[in-house]
Amino acid sequence: MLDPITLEILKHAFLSAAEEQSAVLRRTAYSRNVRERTDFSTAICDSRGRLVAQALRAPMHLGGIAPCVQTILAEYGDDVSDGDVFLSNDPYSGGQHTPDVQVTYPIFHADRIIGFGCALAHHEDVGGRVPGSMSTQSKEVFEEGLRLHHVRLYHKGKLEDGVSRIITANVRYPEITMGDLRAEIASVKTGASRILELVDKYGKDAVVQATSDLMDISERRVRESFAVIPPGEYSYEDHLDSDGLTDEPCTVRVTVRVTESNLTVDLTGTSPQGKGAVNCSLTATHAAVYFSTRALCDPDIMQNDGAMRPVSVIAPEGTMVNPRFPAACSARSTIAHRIADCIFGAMAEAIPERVDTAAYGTSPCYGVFGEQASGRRWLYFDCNHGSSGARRRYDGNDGCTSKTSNPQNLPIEATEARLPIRFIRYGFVQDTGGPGRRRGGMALERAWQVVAPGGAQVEMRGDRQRFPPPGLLGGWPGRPSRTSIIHPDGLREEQSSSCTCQLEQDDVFSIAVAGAGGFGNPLEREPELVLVDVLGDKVSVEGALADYGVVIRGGQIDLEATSAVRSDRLSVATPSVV
Amino acid sequence: MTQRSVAVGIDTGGTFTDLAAIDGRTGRLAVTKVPSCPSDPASAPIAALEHLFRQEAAEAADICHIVHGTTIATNAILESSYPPVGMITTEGFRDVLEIARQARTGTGDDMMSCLYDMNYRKPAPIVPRRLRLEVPERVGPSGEVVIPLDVNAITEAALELAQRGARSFAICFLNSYANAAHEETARAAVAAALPGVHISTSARVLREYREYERFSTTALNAAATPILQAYLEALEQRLETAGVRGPLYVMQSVGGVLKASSIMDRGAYTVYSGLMGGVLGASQIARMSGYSSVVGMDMGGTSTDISLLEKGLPQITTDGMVGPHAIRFPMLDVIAIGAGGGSIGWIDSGGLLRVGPRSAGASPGPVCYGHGGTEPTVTDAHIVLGRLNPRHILGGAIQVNRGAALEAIENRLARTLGMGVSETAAGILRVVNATMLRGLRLMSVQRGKDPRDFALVAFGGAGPLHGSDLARELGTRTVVVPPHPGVLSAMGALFADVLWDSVETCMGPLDATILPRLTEVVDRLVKEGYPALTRQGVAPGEGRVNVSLDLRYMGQGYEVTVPVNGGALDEAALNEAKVLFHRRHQERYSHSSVDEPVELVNVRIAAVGTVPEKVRDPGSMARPEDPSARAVPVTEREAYFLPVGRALRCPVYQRDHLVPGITIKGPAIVEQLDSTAVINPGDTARADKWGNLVVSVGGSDSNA
Repeated sequence: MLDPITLEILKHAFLSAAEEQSAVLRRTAYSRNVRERTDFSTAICDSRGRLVAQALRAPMHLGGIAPCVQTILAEYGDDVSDGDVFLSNDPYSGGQHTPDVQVTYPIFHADRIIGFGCALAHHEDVGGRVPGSMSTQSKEVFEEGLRLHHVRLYHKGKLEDGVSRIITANVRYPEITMGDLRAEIASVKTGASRILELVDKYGKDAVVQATSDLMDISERRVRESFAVIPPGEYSYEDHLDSDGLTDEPCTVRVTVRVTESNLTVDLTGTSPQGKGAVNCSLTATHAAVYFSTRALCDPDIMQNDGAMRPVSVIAPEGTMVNPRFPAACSARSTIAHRIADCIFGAMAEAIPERVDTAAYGTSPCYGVFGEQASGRRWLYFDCNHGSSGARRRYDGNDGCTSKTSNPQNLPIEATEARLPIRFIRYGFVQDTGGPGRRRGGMALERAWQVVAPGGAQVEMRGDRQRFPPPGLLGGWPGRPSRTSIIHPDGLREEQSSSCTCQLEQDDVFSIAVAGAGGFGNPLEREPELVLVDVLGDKVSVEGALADYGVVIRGGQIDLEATSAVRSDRLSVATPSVV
Repeated sequence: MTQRSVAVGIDTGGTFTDLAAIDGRTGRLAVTKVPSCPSDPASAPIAALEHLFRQEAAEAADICHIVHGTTIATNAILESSYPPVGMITTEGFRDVLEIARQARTGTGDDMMSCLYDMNYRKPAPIVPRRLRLEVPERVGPSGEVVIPLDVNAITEAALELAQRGARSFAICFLNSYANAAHEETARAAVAAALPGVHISTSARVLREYREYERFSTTALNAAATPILQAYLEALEQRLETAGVRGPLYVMQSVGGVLKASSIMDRGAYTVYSGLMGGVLGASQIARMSGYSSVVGMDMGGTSTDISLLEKGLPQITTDGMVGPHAIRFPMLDVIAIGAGGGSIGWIDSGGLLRVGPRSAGASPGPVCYGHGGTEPTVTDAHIVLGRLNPRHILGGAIQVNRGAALEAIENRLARTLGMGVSETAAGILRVVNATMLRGLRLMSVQRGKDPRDFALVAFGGAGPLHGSDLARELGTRTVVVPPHPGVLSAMGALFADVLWDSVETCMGPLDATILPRLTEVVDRLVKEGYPALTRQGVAPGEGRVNVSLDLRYMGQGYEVTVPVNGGALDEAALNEAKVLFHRRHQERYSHSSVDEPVELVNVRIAAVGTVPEKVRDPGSMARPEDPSARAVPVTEREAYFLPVGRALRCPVYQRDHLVPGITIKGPAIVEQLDSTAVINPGDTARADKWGNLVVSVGGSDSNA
């Protein structure tokens, strides 16, 4: 092992290389999705395709990058040359879903591979049945666009013209796709230069040694984090509103086995693969598991191959978490969120200070298509995010993306300036955060209307309407999600969480994502904190009494009445363990 | 009037208040440093002036003007010590400020932990929900009134908020950038209901679209303004009592200065006031020595601020943050790294040596200061390695206990690591350099720049201790150490111009159809610009108003700013702007599409003028180089040099002995009151006629 100072310096250097890749990708990317929503990640892998360092962008991308590199090594063997650029997006061969296109670039030193620069970006369209390549109603991966099975866009530094032509002919916006690919290539080449500079400075042996030492250190630290968890088996299950195509609810079941310093996540018991696109490719399932188990550890540990070694995953083939080819799987994030919720749910009693409670589920995404009298067609695409779940020590964060994702919202004024959409409300809904000793984050409503003649059609994918985010350790669930159309005459029409519907001009479309789950018994919440929520109208006076047993009169806590109500209720309820 | 020739720059930081004064007639420069006084902030600048008077460097009557950089607004926001702000907003949108942009934020290592940390806490909004109330009103994106404003509701909301404790007000309506009439009516109603209270309206603060960013900037302005106002009023009064007759200018985050009276209702304009002085100083200093493109590295006790200036121009961002809050005023683009002289060395559970981000700060401070610090810091490592004077620093103001530093490094780190004390101390420096290197690289790479094309200006008390080592790692050939690295911010303030800027959103395709609207906006803004300069004391004919447009490809979400000739806006001018836009887009993002339609988003104007009596010719500060001058070391000592990995016996020079023309060879140490520079073996350092120490790394030099 190298000395602890050189290792720390090289750790910074590896992270710096990954971050520079990230800076180059963001700076040179073409699409709004990559540049503004930062839906991409970058990483450095070693000569065996093991993760060395990554720049953190989207948690779900983590754990997805290395499997592609390993597949390339397995499939190409010695036939990898200096100047090759590989493209991968096949969910059945190391990818997560088709829009995530990974660029992999071997780093050569003295005619041998010493590592790989990698960049993964979510492309706005990769062809297929619908614009954007993602529809929950797709049945096969063939509907989800072009599959790039680790093909070379460059071979020995020379553009493979045929590959380039196939891509441009099969995607809807070839300039954008090629622009983003160029940015990814610029990014991985930057990473390669940095690694080669390090080799010049420290020598190849030291750099290689450092990568494996840093992996060993991360492995040891993750094992130490696991070692404090009481050994045993922890289970949890939760449900999805549907598989995207049928109306049948689905189940995600998780059993976490902890033995000394190993952790196995067994997903046996999860529903058979869905008929629609609500399926999670194996790589995406692994990514969700690695993210969640890593979050159970000290946040300070460097994320690399070593950090994943103590974790094994059992995902039975033919289920939603390991669908058989060629099932569609673009809506993998709906399940990934639920896998994370279930792992935290399972571990809550064992390590309550390291988990957070279920958030709002997947972010409802919708496309609104309209046509103006002039014949001009318009599209409004958006995703709504809600609030995060409560923790043992802290309330959920009101208005914050949930754990497995991290994008930004779209400004209202930017939307109104471009589209015939007028927003009616964007705000929290009273009495919706799961009550608990620590309150779950508030449900967030985004309501808008179409102000152009002709109305519009809405296609939407959501969740958490039938199964609200559950609470933990005595905490209550958040309020279920709610999607409705409110007609100008005031009539309210409720919709299911995934829906297709027609809006007339001035109809209001309201989406309130679910409130997040609470943590601990709400009767133990400090009355002062309930009062703050009441004064800020997040909780009503009635809600304070019904959910928390706190009596508020004239803007003040009635302590006597509160303790009377609470002791009354506690005598019939099971006390919380926290 | 003609007697007043001394320009004074004062920079107040958390620990020290620095002052630099230049006499325009003689070129004489005087500097002082006094402790800051958080309990009575206006007293520190006065104390610094009194110190200057005692040095007999100037008298109050000699002062032509004072330029002041202050962190008072920044600190108020970061420490949440501002008066409660009440917000009145459009019905349905009470939570825009609190929802913010929803992503978990952080940079570098913080970013890592915020994604994996299930105990992550989103920062609280500037205005709590209880103090945000809605009123019926709605304006559409073209400025059309959709729902008329209910004026009675405004009065009721204002009184209710005042009753709930609000002392300052922010009025933030949706789409007010397109039509500010409702906000103006609301302002009048609040002013009538609560006379004398501060009111910020979003379109006056920032007439730009994107509601969260505008609301946040407005709330910050409402929070910071009363604090800044009270401070500047107190300071002006004390200056008057002290006999100072020249005007007081305040440094803005974007780099220019405004009179104290003009900036008082724009509190949020000063959040980077303190930082900007140093950057302007770095730019000026480097330019005098022949370097126009520089990376500024300001290393203090707890953090290092990295900035980049290309061809003398600081990189400006409109996408800034104050702590966790978005602020959309144009401001200096800076990367702050949590590494400084006080950063603490520790061993993590993986056995690696880490440095920072925890800092011993001013109190208890490094172990060697003997003020109760027990954890070894970067400063302790320098002391142990003989790089800092092992007996006393700051001209004897602080006695150093080297033994204590040695012991702390030995007991807390070296033993666990199984390494020698020197090796461990050197390790602390190498690790902290690795952290800073990440920031330096990111700053240049994010901008698409190669750090090798830049000179590194190392300043702040600790900058010159690390500059040469970092330059070597970056591949930068030149390090410039200013004459007074510890008071560069105060000095930089002396070089600032008056700058009054304004922005207004004017959206539409960039073609002939937008010309009437665009011309109206530009004419109006330009007409506001010239009187604004006159109010700043800029003589007629001495100022100019620059117009620029924020452009983007239709449908994109980010803009590129290009200058236009505001005097003659016609189709040809728009076409020129378009050509320039494509070019800049190519430079910055590596691609452009000349066939795609271009969209106008914002019109920006910047009225620029010279501060009267400004030291226009820094040439007066030059001293002739003396080729026969010889450097005489004051002493010799053993000091550790990172590139050779061991201690060498080397000469120690006193900085003020290094008269212009002298060249010294590394290994060497150069000590001065406010800083210490390390010159590595193989490097040479030349004192030039401006008093700068120009270090050629590895013996060569490149004039950038």
